[in-house]
Amino acid sequence: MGEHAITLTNEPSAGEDGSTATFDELFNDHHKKVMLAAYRITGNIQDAEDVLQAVFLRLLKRSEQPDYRESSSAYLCKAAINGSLDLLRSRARVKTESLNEAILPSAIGAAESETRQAEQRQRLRQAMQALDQRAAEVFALRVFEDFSNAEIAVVLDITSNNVAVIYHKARTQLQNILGEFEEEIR
Amino acid sequence: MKGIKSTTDGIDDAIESIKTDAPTPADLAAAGDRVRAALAVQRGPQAVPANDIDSPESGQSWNSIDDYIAAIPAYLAQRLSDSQTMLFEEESRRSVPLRRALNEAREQPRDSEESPVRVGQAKRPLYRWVAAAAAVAAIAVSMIIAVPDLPSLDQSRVAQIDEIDGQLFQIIDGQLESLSAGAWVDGRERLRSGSGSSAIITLDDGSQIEVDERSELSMTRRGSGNRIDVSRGRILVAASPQGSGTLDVFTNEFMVSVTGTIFEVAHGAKGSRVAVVEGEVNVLLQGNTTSLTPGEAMASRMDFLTLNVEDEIAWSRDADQYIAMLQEVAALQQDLEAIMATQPRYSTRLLSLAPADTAVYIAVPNAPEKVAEVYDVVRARAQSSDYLAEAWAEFESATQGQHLDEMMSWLREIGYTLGEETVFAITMKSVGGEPLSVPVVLSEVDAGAFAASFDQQLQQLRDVLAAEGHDQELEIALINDPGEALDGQLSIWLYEDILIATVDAGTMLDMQTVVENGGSDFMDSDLYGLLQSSYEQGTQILGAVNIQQLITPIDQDDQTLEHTGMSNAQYLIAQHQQEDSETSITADLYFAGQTEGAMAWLATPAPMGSLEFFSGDATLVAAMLLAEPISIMEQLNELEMPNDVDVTAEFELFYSVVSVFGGEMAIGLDGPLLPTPAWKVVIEAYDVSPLQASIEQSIALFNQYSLENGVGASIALSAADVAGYSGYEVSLTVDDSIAMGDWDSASFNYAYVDGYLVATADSALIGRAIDFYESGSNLQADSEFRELLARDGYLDFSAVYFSRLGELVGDITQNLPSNLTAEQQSAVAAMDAGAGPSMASILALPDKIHFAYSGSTQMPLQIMSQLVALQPLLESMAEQVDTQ
Repeated sequence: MGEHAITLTNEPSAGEDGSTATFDELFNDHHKKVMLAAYRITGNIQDAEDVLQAVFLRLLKRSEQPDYRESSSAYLCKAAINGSLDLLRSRARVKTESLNEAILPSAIGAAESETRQAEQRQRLRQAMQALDQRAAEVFALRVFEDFSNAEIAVVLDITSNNVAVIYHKARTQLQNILGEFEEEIR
Repeated sequence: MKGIKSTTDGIDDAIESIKTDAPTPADLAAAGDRVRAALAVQRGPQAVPANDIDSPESGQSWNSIDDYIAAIPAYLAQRLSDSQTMLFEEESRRSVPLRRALNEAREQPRDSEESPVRVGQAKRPLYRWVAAAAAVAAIAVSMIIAVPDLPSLDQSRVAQIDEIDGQLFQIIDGQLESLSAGAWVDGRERLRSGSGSSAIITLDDGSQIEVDERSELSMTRRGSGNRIDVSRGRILVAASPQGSGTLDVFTNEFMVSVTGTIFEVAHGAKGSRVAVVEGEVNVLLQGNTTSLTPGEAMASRMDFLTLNVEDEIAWSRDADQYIAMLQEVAALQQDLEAIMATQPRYSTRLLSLAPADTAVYIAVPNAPEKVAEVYDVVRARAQSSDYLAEAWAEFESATQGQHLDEMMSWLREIGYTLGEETVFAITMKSVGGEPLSVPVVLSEVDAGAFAASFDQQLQQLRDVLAAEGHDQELEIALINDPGEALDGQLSIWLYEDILIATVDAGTMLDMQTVVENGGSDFMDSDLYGLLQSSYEQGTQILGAVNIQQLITPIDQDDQTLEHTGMSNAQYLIAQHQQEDSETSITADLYFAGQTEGAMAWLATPAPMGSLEFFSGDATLVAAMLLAEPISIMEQLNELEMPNDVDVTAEFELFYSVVSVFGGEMAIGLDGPLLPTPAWKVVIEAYDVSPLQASIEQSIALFNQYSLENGVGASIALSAADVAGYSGYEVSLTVDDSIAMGDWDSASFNYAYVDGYLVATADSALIGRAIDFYESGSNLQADSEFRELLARDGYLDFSAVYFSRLGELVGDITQNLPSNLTAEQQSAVAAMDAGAGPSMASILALPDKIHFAYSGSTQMPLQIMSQLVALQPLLESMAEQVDTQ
């Protein structure tokens, strides 16, 4: 901002050797990260697999080739996070099935702890659905995927400062929602 | 701490739990294989399998935006599969046309439902009213046709917000309301972009407006084309062809008229500017029209008004001694200014001779001679002053002043043989892992005169030092060959008309190579280029530091450097110039890449609306733009609270307050200092409701704490609206137990004005602040303020400090009960003349921080020290006011 203008393009670009990364290379390099990003949001391996497939299908159908440079990882994670959130929200709208993470029985002694952790995960995932899309993207990219504010800013085409503000507000909102959950339980 | 600790821990635990709860590698691999296989089956040249994302409406693949638009009905009817819905929503986030089509599709049913209602209303039997309204409308329409510049009657949906990066607000009744992409904007609605934000707006004629951060504008539909008013900030307009009309952009200084082109209009503290990218624009300024073509730019203020200082002061008889002392200081300062005044140098031979590994470079005009002259002036002034003579005598007695005289005489003799410039260079290198710095002195010199008088001058200096009890032999030698230089001895070697002096034998040999070759490898460095550029612009005193070279050998891993943001600082270059009674200081701090840490706290230069609340008579104003208050707080928030300290509420409160701040703030003294200082604080606040709630909560917390701990103080908050804006009065009352004398209460007022919190000592001052803001007659229009603005090519600042501390002195003395004699008045006038207005500003650019000071030769710190000296006056005055 200020005195400077930034121009971003979506032109496909070649790597340092002049070659463009292939779809297969992209899939092999990133599918686990995309799958994990989706799993962290959905908490369900089948849903994460669906998101993984949808994300790469979308790449296939795009008429213009995506930018396969270093930031692919962040862009794909963002797509996975959005896809996962959309999936959960659309299900919540039509109420077709429960969003609850499957809480499997555990060994004696560890059961209570694991159950509590599963509840924590489920509450945070539920709470994230209350965030607006941008806030959820920023929050997930920062805390789950460990991207820096500057990296997120590039992916979302906003400033680092905006990322910091959005993150702070998202975290505060999530804390409030989690606090309300705890109040309800008591 | 309990509440927030549990919530904070809860979210941190949940995050950690989610991050550690991953599918097994086997599950991941299996899922990857399944998806890979599915993709392999479904892959085709730009094709998508029909059973997954084909449009259920058309049966065709989604290969273009039209396919997505065709799928809107299915999406709204929730007939798309999960994958299709996900693809659709992802595309809608990145495609403006799709989003717009989706919004229109969503609005269609609402419109069709609303239309019968409107028909029903039209059937009401108000024929007379309808006839009258029709007549008025007919007149209005005919007026608009006859006078096309008049605003249209219909101002609905003049523009639509296409994109927002950050925050865009609409100002309604003095409050900011956040807008979203897709929102419609009616005519005359005021919009403001937030800190670090930008937006794209499309007018109904198809013209696009790109709005930069911290900008404020409104749009009006007219018969002859749309009108845009820019109150502040920067917009880039891509105007659509206007037919017979024009698209006009107004600032409060000029009008830009176009028929179809691309141009930028900016309006900031230093005036308005238009720059043309494409096509042609006409600029109407002060009755004259100028045509600009691509690449041309025009500013509204080509000439600055002359400085006009008013000095009406009255003094008390009690102030005689302070007046006299201040007068002496002012006179001494004027003498020193006369000595130090030198012509700027635009080139130098010495820069290219600086050692290759120069880390510090300081160039001064013939330093030894100046030092001696300054000493002479100080001594003469002190000895002739009734007030300083005694103190000078004590000083001479304590320092054996006669020897000082001789030392200065030696410096003067040496100085007269030197050229116009002396350079002190300090090299920094690593020897055996240890940092080694060596000073080198370079000067143009009359070699013959210097050599002839050297022995005599050196002996004179030895005698002086011996007389003062310094028994150590001076290790100074004038050498004929660089090979004679010794470590630890100040060796002076003359090469033609260049003097080289250093204490390191190896460095002297290096310098021999440098001067014989006419230059060193330093000429290939970035620092050399920056210094040469400084010389070309003219310089008197010039200093430069290669920070990386200076710091790296000492400690590369210093954590402090990272925290302060200095870890990637490269060069610091500072200049000092003095002309007549004006001083100018500039300093540039260059970074390798983007500024970091504390160095990135200031925002890039942008308009400061907060300055609009200060009058043209403000005595002192400091304003700044913080890049992001929350980010700064996060950086500072590394202090760990002890577990037994419960600061939950305060912590949350603090964050909730900071989170609504826009980053802009100004503080100043805008009115008399006495009897009640007319202080003023203006803070940019985007979201008023939570801020006000936080203030009320803060007061409640304080009162509760006070009650529980017997503090004996309470704060009351009451509504006190000002000029139609929401306002409050905060009153502090203390018990007799802690009251100080008659003082047992204090209060101040604040109001929310168009996204700013304005706080002052009383409601009348807020009313005045609003007048300045609304009328445009404020500090930024003041001639003295404009006179001092740096001519640096930027319209705005990241931070600015403006002061008329001389007037503050006058304001204090004006309130004294007694009048001065004519002699005293002339003395005060002399002091005030040297204390004119001054301005310091900072431009925080992505890879550089630029500091500039201009104005009175009496620096603000000097004047502040004078004010401190006036403290007894203030006390005596307060006593006299009390007795009256």
